[in-house]
Amino acid sequence: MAKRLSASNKGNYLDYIWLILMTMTLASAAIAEQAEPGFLITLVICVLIVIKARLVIDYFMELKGASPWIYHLMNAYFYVFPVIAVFVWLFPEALVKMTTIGS
Amino acid sequence: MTISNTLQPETHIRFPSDQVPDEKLSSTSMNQEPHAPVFNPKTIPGNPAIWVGIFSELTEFALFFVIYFIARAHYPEQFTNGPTQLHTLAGTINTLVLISSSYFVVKGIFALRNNRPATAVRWLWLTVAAGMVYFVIKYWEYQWNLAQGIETNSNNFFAVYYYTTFNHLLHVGWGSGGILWAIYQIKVGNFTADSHSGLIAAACYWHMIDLAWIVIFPLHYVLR
Repeated sequence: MAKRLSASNKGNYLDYIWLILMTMTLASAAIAEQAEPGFLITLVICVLIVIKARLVIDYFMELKGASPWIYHLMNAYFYVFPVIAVFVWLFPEALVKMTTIGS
Repeated sequence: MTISNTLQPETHIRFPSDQVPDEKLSSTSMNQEPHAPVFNPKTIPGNPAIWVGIFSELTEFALFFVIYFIARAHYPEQFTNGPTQLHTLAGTINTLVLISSSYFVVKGIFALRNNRPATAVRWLWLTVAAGMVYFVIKYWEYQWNLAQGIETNSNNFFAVYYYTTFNHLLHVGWGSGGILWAIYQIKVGNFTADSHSGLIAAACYWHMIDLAWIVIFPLHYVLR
């Protein structure tokens, strides 16, 4: 008897993850083309980075069941940089002060 | 007090030439509990070496991102106007291509797990094809930039853009090589439904390339 594969074993859910990622990319592109720069837009873009990264890490890389060191380090990386992007948008002068040598 | 007086018998340094019977080893130094491994080998996707590579590459990209943020803070006008001069459509298509390539890789893994090696190979060829499409679009984009007068030394934004995206382009090359190697291993029967950790390793590296672009694309093409 042919072994029947469940939807999970066949990875059918990956098709939906792929569609979500494609949609979010097109949303980012639409923002780039049409939206006026602002804090809210920056926040939305950074949230999209986090969501996209989490989807790739959890479902495409399948790191959920991996070593927690690897899983949490990978996740942290894609939280830290969007947060820095928001911080730099809000307080650029603070970073200038931190990275200026001399007076 | 002489130095020799400070040395207690227990602190005698043992050199390899000191012949110690196995019984002695087992009853003294081997008595200690072994250190627990930092990583459990059973929960490392692929192999430990690929994760050293992945975190090394991510550290390299992290340095590029830090440079981007510092330069952005110092030259806000260049980083506000820069993205408007880039070809957003080329960046968007490349993002779609890379995300699709990650999808093709994981579909290939699922096909192999379900004992369909021929299907797995087809998905992996699609991944390599996506990598080639990425190369072609990036080449076209660089040519388009040059036609607009956008060069590496045009300003700080474009310097960061060229260094980061060209570095990423090289990684697509390494990643494609890894996927081609995995295709060969499936074809000769070395990777099977039950044993394909090398494919997982190559796939994780490929996903890392996709993840890096997930940050690069909004920073250089979208954020103003």
